[in-house]
This record gives sequence, C-alpha cells and structure tokens, in this order.
Amino acid sequence: MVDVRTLAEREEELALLYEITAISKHIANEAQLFELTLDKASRLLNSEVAIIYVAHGAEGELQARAARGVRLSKVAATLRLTEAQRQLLAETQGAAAPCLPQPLGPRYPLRAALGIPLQREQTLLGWIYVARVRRDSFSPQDNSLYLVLGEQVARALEMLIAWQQQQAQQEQLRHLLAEMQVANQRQAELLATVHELSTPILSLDQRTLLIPLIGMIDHERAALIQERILDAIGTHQAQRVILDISGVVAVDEVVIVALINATRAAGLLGANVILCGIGPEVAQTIVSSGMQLEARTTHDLRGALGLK
Amino acid sequence: MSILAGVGASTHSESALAGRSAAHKALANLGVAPRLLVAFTTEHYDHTVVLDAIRSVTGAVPLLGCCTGGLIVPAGILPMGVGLLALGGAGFELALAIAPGLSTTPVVSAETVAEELEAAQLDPTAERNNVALLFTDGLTGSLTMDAAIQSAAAVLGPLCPLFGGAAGDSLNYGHTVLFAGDRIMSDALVAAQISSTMPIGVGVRHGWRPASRRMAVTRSTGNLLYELDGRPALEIYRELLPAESITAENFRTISRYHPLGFVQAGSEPLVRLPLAVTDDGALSCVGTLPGDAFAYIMEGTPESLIEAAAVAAERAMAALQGHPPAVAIVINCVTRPPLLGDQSQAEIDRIRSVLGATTPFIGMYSFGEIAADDGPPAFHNKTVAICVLGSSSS
Repeated sequence: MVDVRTLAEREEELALLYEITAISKHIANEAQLFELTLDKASRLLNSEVAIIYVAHGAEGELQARAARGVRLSKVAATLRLTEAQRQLLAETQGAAAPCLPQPLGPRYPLRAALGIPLQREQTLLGWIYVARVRRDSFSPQDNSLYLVLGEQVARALEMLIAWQQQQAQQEQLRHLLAEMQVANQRQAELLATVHELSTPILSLDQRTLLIPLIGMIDHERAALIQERILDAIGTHQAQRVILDISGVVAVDEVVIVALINATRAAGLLGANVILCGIGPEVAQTIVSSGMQLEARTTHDLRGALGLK
Repeated sequence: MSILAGVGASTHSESALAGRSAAHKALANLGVAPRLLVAFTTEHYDHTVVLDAIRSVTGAVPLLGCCTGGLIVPAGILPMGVGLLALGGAGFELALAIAPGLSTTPVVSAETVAEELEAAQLDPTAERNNVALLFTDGLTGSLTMDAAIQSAAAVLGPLCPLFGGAAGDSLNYGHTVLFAGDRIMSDALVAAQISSTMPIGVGVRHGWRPASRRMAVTRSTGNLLYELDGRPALEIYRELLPAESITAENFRTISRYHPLGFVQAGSEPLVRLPLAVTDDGALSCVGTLPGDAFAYIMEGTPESLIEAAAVAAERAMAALQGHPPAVAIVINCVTRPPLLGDQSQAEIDRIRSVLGATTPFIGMYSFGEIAADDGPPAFHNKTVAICVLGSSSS
C-alpha cells in the first residue's frame, strides 16, 4: 500500500507520536498523568470529549476518574465492559458507535466515538473514551495515534499502580514500625513501674525510710534495690534506713551480698541501715556464709522502730 | 424565527456622546427591538458613562462586552471608539452571566458563569444550536485563562462551544474592564449563551508557519518556557534570529513576529506568544503551555495572516450549510496589526469579502482569542476567530 501522505503530514504525525510517548514518563502523580492524558486526547488529537476510566473493585468494573469537555459528574460513574467491547478499540466509530458503552447518555448527540482500553498483558487497567461532536469520524491516523496513546497511558498507569502499591507497603511497614515502637515504649514504662513497685520505699518520718523487700532477689534485682536505696537516701536526706527482709522468699548468698553492699553504700551516704525480719533460718544462713553484716539487726519491724 | 442585527460605532471622544451615538446607529440599523447588546470600547472612555449612555438609548436590554485593543466595524478599524452590536428577532434565546475572580479562582468563576447559563435551560432537548460568547480580562487572566475555559466548557458541554476574546487595551498592559448589564468589572469573565434554531458557524486560523525545526519542550511550567531541546529557549531564539541581536529587553518586540507554535493533530499549531524574559531566563508566555509538547518558533507574513483570516471566515460560513449569515463577530489578536502594518484593513476586507458586504459585523482586537474550531475550545494567541450566526433562508 502506497503512503500518500506528504512529508509535512508525516512530520506532523511523528511529532504527535513523540509527544504522546512522553506520557509514560509521568508515573509519580495520578492527577498529572490524567491531566496530561486528557490534554493529549482532547487538545492534541482534537476530540471535544475525553473521559478516563480506571479499573476499580469488582473485575471488569471501571470508575470514571477524569474528564475534559464535560463535567465528571455528568458521565456514567461506573462502567462494565464486555469482552467484545474490550476488543473493539479503534475499530468502532461513526454516528452511533453502538457497540461502545455510552458514558454520556443520549443527551449528547455525538457524531463519532472511540473506546481505548488501557491494557497491560491481559489485565484491563482502564479505558479512555473520546468523542467528537463537530466531526463525524476518526481517520485511520487518528485511530493509530489513539492506540499509541492508550498503550502509553496503560504503561504509565501500570507503573503508577505498582508505585502506589509500593508506597502503600512502605506506609504499612512504617505504620507497623511505629506501632512496635509504641509497644516497646509501653513495655519499658510497665517494667519500670513493676521495678518501682517491687521495691517500695516508705518515708516513716523526715529521717527514716522503710524499705520492705518482697519476693525473689537475684543479681539483677539486687543491683536495682541498691540503686533505689541510694536514690531514696539522697532524695529524702534520710539518716536511717530500715530494710525489712521478712518478705524475701529465700535468703541466699546473693541476698546477703546485696544487703552487705547496700549497707556499705548507705553508710557512705551517711545513713545507718537496720535489717529487720531476720528469723532463725535467715540468721543461720548468714552465720553459715561467714560474711559479716555491718548493719544492726532486729527480729521484726517493731524492734527496728524501737532502735535509736 | 430569524436573527436580526444592527451595528453602530462612534469615535466621538466624549464618553456619553460616543455611547449614545453608537447605540442610536445600532438600533437604527437593527430596525426592531433589541434583545441583546454586545459592546466594545477602548481605554479612552469613562466606561460607566458609556454604558449609561447606551442604556439610556436602548433601555435595560441584556448587554455584555469589554474594553478592547481596538474596534473592527464596517467603517473600518477604530483605535479609539465605542462599537455596539444589537441583536433582535425571535430566532434566538439568551442568558447572561458575569463573575469576578478570574486570576485567583478561575475554575470557580468560570463554573459560576457557566452554571448560571446552564440553569437558564435554553436548550433542554439539545435540538438547537448554541454558542457561549465569552469575554475575559486579558490583563489579569492570561495565566488562568486555560483553566477557566476548560471549566466553563466542561459545564456547558460540547454542544455549547465557547467563542470570544480577552479584554485589553492599546498594548499599554494597564487596566481593562468587562460589562454585563449595568455592571462593570475587572479580573472577571462575562458570558452570554445564544441558543438558535439556525446554524452557528465558527472559524479559527492564525496563518503562522514553522520557521524552525521541531523542538522538544524539555523544561516548562505553567506559562513559563525554560528549555527547548535541553537548551535555554532564549538561546534558541538568538540562534535562529542572529540578525536581531536579541536581549531580554528587546525580546518582546521580536517575539511578536516569532511566536511559539505547539503541534496539534489536523489543525494549525496552537500559538503562544512569549512576552518577556524572566530573571531566571524563562520566556513568559500568554497562556498555559502544553505539557511535554513539541514546539516550533513560528513566522508569518502579511499574506499568510490575511489568507488565514479569510479561511477562518470561510470555515465559519461553511458551517451555516447554506443559510445566510445574520451577523458576524470577529475576534482578532491585538498583536497582528504590527506585522500586517498598513495591510491590517486588507485583512478585514478579506474577511468581509467572505462574509458578504452586507453582513452586519463587529469585532475587537483582543489579548487572546477563545474559540473551538472543529475540536475542543482553546485559548489562542495571535489568531483570528470568527463566529457567524445563521439566519433563515427566506
């Protein structure tokens, strides 16, 4: 078939092709992609009406997203293409274009219309509808150009969707991370509260603190108890600290070392330590350990309070 | 069911006299009661006084119009004057609207105007022929004109194409006004929908031809063009026109003869006039630039421009499908006369020769033209747009 177009016509078509193919650069912004697509479909390729539909929800359902030459609110909000309509592409044209869905309804006596599927592989991503009122046809060149436009827009849309999915995943990850950080923070706060409750400090008068020790004491808790005792002495300016160990489940060497260390440290801060709650078993354990307690001791709290 | 038209103009320097004189002549030429007035003035008048004077003669007839860069009337081109088109007869229905805020809220303003026209429901069954005469402030609105046009077109739909122009002055780039009834506004747009049982024809042509190779717009935003083919646009101009010794200061006087043209399918390139060079080297154009487009630097001759004006008139007339023209409205860019020189009148004569010597017509020199040829409406630069209202054959 002989190409009867003039050099100028071919030059123009080349320019149009170049301009259309630039669309696939725009994948970062849906609004910009739609705006450019409408500009090319309407101004550049000379159709009064252009409407962009994008696949949404149920398979085959298309949602109107942008329009030029007519208000978006006046076009069919959703469409569903049959398989035959998906295949029509640029082949359908003419006064009625009966095989195409009519987004505008009968109020608009359009003289020519085209439907351009936005398809990648076998997936329908969207659909562009273009229509003319003053001219009654689309030339074969028009059809070809709209076909290329559809390919370019579909490519850009595919990348945009992938990019949006990636963004959504990143957002989800960011959200999860933030949630984990909040949970960690809460856990740390809870732990601090537990630690605080495990070593309560009661101020009996301006100079005397009562610190009842309850439960199991291991190395970690022993260090924490010492830290709390020293903090409390500093905070309350205490001169006398009564450590009640009657609630300690088991007094072993760890506990005894902790008590010795706490007593020495308190002494360095100018406070005397009184150990109370020492029963026969505990006394036996202390003696057996061979370690020397520097604190005064009493059997019970009453005895401790009675000491000067 | 015909449309009748009468045109009157006055070059009297006194506002009241000019207004009254133009109105008296228009009504005398119309011969029936007026139903719509289209008024064009120039910057030399007190527009409130002009409107009062017109309405003192015509009564409270719906009126729209604007201040222009010059009038085009049967008597010739008038750099100063008041021109009035009076339409009468039972062959049309009309609605009128005006809204401020073109430069700040173009979409809202355009939709407000278009919705008011739409609410009039002049053509509820889509059986008539329609056109929305649209005039805008060309001094405040060149950056927002495209958005306003697209918004108005979307509301009115493709069955009511837009036609009109941007108001201006005598290239002083000072202040301009628009009229609607007895209201006078700046930074506004005004429109009148005409709905007729007779055909309405529109033709748009400019006559500028590519003078350069085709170049990719590699950097632009809004109305600012930075780069063509990856190089500063001003540098491209200098390269193409070495004899002009282009500077930022003299660019405006040179670009006037070498606008930019943007490729479009099946029609002339869309012209954009670069008016100035910004501090960062961009060419500031009248109107938004198409995104990711290809452009030429254009050139024209008096012959090509005149021929284009004739083609615009022929296309408008052809759309009447044999019906005689009742009236023609000509919107002609204010920057065409500098190239046409003493052939400016020849351009108008060519248009008249196509329209018919007895066809009433009125026109304005505009700061941009608004029209749809056989595609979507657009904001044009350096272009002639002609609208012809058809009349009944009998």
